Amino acid sequence: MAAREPGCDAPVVEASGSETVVDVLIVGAGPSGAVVAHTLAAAGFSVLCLEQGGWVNPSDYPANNPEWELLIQKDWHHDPNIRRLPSDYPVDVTDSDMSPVMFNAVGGSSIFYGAEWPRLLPSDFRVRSLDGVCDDWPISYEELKPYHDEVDAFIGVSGVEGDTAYPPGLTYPLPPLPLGKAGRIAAQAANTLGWHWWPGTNAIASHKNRTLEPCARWGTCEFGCPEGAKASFDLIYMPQALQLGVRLVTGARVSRIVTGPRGAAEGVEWFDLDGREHFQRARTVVLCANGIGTPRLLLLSAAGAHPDGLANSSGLVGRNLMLHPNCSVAGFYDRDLEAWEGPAGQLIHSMQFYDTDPTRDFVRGSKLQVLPLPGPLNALEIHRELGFDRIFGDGFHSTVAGHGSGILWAANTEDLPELSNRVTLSTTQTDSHGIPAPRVHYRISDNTRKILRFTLQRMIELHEAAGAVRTFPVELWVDQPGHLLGTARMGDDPNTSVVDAFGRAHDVPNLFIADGSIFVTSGSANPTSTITALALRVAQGIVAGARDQVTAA
Amino acid sequence: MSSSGNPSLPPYRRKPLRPLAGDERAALHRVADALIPATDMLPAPSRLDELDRWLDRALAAQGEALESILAAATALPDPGGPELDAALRRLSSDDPVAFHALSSTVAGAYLMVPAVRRQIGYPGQRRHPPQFDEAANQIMDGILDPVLERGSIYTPAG
Repeated sequence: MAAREPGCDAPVVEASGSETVVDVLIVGAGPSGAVVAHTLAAAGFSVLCLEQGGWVNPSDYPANNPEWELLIQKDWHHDPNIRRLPSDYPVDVTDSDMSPVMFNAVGGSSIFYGAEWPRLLPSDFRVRSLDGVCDDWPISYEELKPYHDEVDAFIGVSGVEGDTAYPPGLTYPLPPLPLGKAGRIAAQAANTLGWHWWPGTNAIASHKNRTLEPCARWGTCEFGCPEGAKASFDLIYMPQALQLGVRLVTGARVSRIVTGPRGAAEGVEWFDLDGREHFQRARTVVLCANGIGTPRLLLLSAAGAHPDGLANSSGLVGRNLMLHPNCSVAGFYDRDLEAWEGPAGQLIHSMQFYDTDPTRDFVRGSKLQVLPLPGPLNALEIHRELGFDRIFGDGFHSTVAGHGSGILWAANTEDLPELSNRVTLSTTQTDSHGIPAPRVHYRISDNTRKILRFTLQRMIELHEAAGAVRTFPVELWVDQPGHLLGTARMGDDPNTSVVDAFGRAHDVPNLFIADGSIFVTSGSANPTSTITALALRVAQGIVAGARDQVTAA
Repeated sequence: MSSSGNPSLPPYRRKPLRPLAGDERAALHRVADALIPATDMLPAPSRLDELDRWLDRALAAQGEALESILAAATALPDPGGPELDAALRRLSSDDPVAFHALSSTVAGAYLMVPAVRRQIGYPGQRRHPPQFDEAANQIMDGILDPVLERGSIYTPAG
């Protein structure tokens, strides 16, 4: 089996042999896996990364084809339960209000993310102290800031310094992307209402940066960037990691983490594409399999010494799942806004309603962003709720004629951690290797419902202030976003957390977690920026502690 | 699953999974004409020279849903007119999933025809790099001043 680096004909990876013990084995080649791989390889570690998916090239993405609007309804759908690629595993959502989404490939879900790149705010790390609910993080905004700055510099984040929603000192390495007509109209509406907004911060290169091309505004960021300008982590960090000697095996689905007599991880069992089972030894194992895949793997790794799952003496593995339920209001205007033009990506964002306001009947809040609405078929789909006569027959042409006049206000709401929202193992669904699928038990809380309704009204007001002709409010996107958080939370107390402040499992000295699972609270900022900063911190912690690292050997 | 395939890449097809029979294509034409009337500038969909090419591409994108889409189309009344219009309305209310697949396919095909795209002003998704000073010009004209004048809004957290 061999994987290929994009644009390279020579095999760069061969399947690992069980006889080889690697310093670090990483499960998952998404954003956190790529950052960890690069950081450890640069420090001289031998690194093997196992990824169940393959490489996807920018030329493969649906927007390269005129039928892209149909392709994203099926083969390129963001929901793995609809897409059902061989790299996907089913997600059992029979007990869930939402369908968590992801993409399984080198680059992980950053293949499909919008690359919106806000950091968490200082208040996010102190929700207990400030709001009297949930828990504080064991780290602060200021402690994480240097890691953010390093990741931002590497990937080339585009933005405008001085965002008034953040403490002073927040700068970006690349200039911003254009607001576009839609962004300017939305910004002027926020000005009319006296609300905060700021030019969008995006992990999309406005100028050539390392292995990323400059943005050419294809407008389809959330379905893959044909230009190779979006910082999906197959295009940035992972290529540099491979150059440093990281071995990446694609089509490798990890089924279990194996521990030794002393409780340390010995390695992992995994299946290749032909169904052959392998065992790979490692001195350290790092899980970067996202907030659904990581708890699934820990629960699959139950054994005699840990019958409820690995690293689960707290009973918190899989619990506190947070999904950032999204709401949105699409608005259509009486003028051409060139809605097919990117980035998408956020044109602007607003933190006006981010923090707790005691005059409201909920705690915490939401982060709002503006995106373009490209495509005439997509415009038609948004109008479907108006009924047959409005969009077919005589109504068809007026609907599609307005395709260029749409603006989308959308919002992430802060989902508070709840023990009952959790990932377990399905008893009825398995993946293509017969491994139990994750089962998601998730109910939207009253607090989150209130945030959704409140935010929806604010977005309607923004459209009204801008003069929208028609608005289409959606109180809940059932299958967005792919923000999978909290299922192996960090903390100082082993009784109330799964990993410590550097991602090390309390129960397993050489097992680390570096993905969104370790969030304590969710904030409402898009999380990949924070996930990668945490991953860098976890990796640098592994480097710093290597001399004293306990291993199975 | 075989190691010969890329597990993260769906197959890309330019043609439906099988060729369409004449009555199946005719049924799709009738549906398209019923859902999308002619205008002063554009003929009925079935009169567009390139519709069939894009119908094939739209059906290819539907993959294994091809048969159910064709079954829905051929089950509708022939010929068109008020009876077909009424049947489509019934389908949209009685089986919205089937209607969605059928109507998205024919509308999607129609909207890919170059003459239609020109008429509605849709250039398609494509490269359109910004001018060097475009972003700066869009934020340096004072639009941010109200935000800056209000000052910091973050909550200090110690």
